[in-house]
Amino acid sequence: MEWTEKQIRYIIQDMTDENPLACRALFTITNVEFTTKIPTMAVTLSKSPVLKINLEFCREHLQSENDVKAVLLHEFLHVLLLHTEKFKTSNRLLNIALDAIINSIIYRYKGMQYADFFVRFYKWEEISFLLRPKLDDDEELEDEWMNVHKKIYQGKYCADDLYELLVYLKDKINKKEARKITLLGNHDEENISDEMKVLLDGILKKMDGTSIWNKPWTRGTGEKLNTEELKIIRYKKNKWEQSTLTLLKKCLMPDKKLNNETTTHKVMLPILSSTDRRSMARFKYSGMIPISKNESTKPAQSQLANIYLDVSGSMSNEIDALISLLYHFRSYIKMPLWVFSDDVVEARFKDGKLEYESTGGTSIGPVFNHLRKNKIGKSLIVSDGYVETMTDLMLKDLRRENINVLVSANGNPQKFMDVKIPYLQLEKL
Amino acid sequence: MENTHEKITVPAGQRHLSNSGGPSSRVRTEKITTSIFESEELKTQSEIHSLDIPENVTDIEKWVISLYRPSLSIDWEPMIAALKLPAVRMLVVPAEMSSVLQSESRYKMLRSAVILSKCSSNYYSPDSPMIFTRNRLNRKVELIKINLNSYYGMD
Repeated sequence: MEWTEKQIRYIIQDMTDENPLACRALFTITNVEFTTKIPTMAVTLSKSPVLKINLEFCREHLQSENDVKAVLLHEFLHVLLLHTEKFKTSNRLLNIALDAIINSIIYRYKGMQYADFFVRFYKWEEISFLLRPKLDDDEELEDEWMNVHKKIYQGKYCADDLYELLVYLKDKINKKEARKITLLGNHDEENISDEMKVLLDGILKKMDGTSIWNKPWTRGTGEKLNTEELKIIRYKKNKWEQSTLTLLKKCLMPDKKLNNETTTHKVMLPILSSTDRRSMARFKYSGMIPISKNESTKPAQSQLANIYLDVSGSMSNEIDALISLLYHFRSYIKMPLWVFSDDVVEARFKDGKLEYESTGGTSIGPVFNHLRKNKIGKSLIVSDGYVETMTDLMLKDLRRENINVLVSANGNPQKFMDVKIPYLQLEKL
Repeated sequence: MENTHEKITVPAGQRHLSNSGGPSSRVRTEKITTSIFESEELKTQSEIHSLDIPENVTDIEKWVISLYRPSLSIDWEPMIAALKLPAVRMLVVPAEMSSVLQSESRYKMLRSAVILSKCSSNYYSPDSPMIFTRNRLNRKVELIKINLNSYYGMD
């Protein structure tokens, strides 16, 4: 095909607009240079990015616009996967493995539309066949080779599995045969400038790594990654809630002022009951009213927990998450909720927010004084553990097993461990 | 226990045992497709463009210019003004083959070529640069502008 420089530039512009694999970020700032110093095409990132193109190679081998785009994408992937920077030695075997992985990514991503060029450029014979997908009429080669080929083009050997592929190829490949193959692009060692590293990081964050990496959601900020992260956060929040609830239940005390709850008792009576379905069956069978399970309910005192929340300065990063956690369990919490910094003060939830006044210091002593003064049997202290050293005198007349501590995710429970106060630390979100 | 149970073998190809799901005759599989772009009520503006560039042409821009005059260069600005291109962004949807008529005059072919060069895969923008590639120009597309009020009134 008689390509002109102008036409190649238009194709690059078209591909930039199409933006496969988020390549736009690189190609919009890349200068294009037509030269015969390189055999095919190459992208250099030493200073400013330059895409070097050998027009003779294009004219000889590239028959359509998709062929040009396939080679451009091949070069882009070499850069994106940091091949020229990572591998300081230029080894034929390594280069074949790198190109095989790249061509398989292009095949999986764009199908035969782009991979048609690789089919024409590389013969279906040992070694070079690794660089192209198999067509239906290509004859089967040795089983072991076919197995490797299948693994590469189905994506079992992804960009992460280069080493594994190399180990296999090392024993199998005939180095003389390998030297005959023309490889696309730049395989020479190259240092990438810091600005370009930032650019490549940006591309990696934008792109969806599906069909490139084994675990594409671990790269980039695509939708899959976000979903994955959200799931992790939701799972951790669930764990927070479960562990907090377990701890809260340990601290529940009957509240004499509130009779909001009901308790259900089971009573055996000779009365048919809808709660005991078997009794009806027994009645039909025997004709006699059987003794059945009946339920009776009566009001009971509410079980609530006394909470002391640390609102000192060191808690500022985590306080919102902890308040939201406590708000979730507000039906278990005795109001007012107590907050402490230098002193213990009242706090209340108002419109989903916790209202309190705080001085900003940290001292747990006033909490123990408050417990003693108000004769509170069980309590839950929510703190990051950055408090003064607790002494036996401070805990005088208090039963340590009745004091539970919920230590925030970034906190340190050491001080509570030292005085043998039971604690539970939340996991980091 | 072995003697009290009848050994059940599932015939090859049968996915369910009896009474474990609806019979196949009650199962219908249909592919349902619809497109809002087919609704004529929605379209406030619509144009169909298609081109067929000869196989032997490699320099697409040169071929487009040759539609105007056999000259190597062209001043695009006055040319674009004269072609009266759509002045607003429009959606690009593939046109049905039957509705596509080959542009008959060179003027219409030139106008289609310029418009298609400004069309990405999804939209046409009058501010887009002209990109003369075969993939872009060899398309059969319909440019449409949607009346959003009609869209929300579709219910």
